[in-house]
Amino acid sequence: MRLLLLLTTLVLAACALSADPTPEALRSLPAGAWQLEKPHASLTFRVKHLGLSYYTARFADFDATLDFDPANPAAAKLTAIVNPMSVRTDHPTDAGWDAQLGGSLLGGNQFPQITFESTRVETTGETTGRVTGNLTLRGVTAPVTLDITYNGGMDRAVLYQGRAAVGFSAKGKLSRSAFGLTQYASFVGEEVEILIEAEFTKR
Amino acid sequence: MRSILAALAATALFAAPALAQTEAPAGQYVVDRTHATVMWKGLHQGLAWYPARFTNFDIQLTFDPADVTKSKVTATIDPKSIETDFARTRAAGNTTDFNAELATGERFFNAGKFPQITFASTAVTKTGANTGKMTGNLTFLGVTKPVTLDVTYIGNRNDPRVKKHKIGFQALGTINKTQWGMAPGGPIADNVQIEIHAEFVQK
Repeated sequence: MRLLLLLTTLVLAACALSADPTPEALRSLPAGAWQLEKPHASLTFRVKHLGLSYYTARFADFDATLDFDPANPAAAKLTAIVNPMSVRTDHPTDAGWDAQLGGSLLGGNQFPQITFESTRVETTGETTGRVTGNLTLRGVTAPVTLDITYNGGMDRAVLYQGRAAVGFSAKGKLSRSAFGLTQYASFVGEEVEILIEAEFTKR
Repeated sequence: MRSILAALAATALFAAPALAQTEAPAGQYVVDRTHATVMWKGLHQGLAWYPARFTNFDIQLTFDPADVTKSKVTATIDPKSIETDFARTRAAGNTTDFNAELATGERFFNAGKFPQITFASTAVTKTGANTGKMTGNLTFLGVTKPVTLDVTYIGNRNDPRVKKHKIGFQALGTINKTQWGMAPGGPIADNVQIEIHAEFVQK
């Protein structure tokens, strides 16, 4: 009984409560397939509204898979699927605005998914990189590049039942007219900023 | 014909470059909640920045274009309006209302006991043509402490649809949540980023 308690304590002590942000921790993460931890991931975009401020919205329903070998980061593959109808703007008075934005503007009525598939990964530093891939939005496919920062990794995360975990922040910009998004052009800036925070666990 | 001319005129007005800051009239402005975001981000276990926003808030601005350092801002935020989108991302069978836990939990915003988060500016300084720092007293969990936000003036224009002037800002800052009594060392790191995007309309 005492031995079991000792072993449990040792195992729990080996589990991390907070990620290690060092490049060494990144390099020691296991290679293979990683799955997005949805409750700990966010996908936000913003556009300049009337030249006055950044209008912000989020997608609440999206998923991603990452194939990643820290010994060979350039071979990594990232795919993501986003439900356009899950856009959330928190409009204070118009309960139908999210459905209009997602269904009409973002193509959800015709195209049930927005997808991303990486085509190239480059490292730009010990904990930073750049992922280029094809984004398909409203049925139109065009390249998008994301600047990625590794925040931290854990070999055994208590939060994730002892699975390895890794977290990234990512930023990108796209031109909305490249995807045929020309409505409201007089109200909304051309450039769309994408802001991603994502935690993955080892499958 | 008249309606086409009106539409063209409206488009031209919206396409016109933003007027200079000093041309926004002095006086009282109120936040346009349809075009405003009040959010914070906390680093979750060193893995990724976890964002949440408040959807019910009021911000009042007394704007003095002749001397912006005389401008004043007050804000009231309803902590029960916190939104994390957790309900859209939780696993099937999970009925946790994480918004409610954050809003009313004693370890978090304790809204039952402290129904409002408030801010009142005490000083504004200019740091550049379109930038400044706004210091004020932030009160939540019954504790009042000063915070300083980096403010960027983005633009102003007369909105012909409502025949009123609008001004837009971005305000960014970092607070240490333990200064307001939140326990240190939890899953969200102590230094929390605050991000506000807001358009204000003349009263």
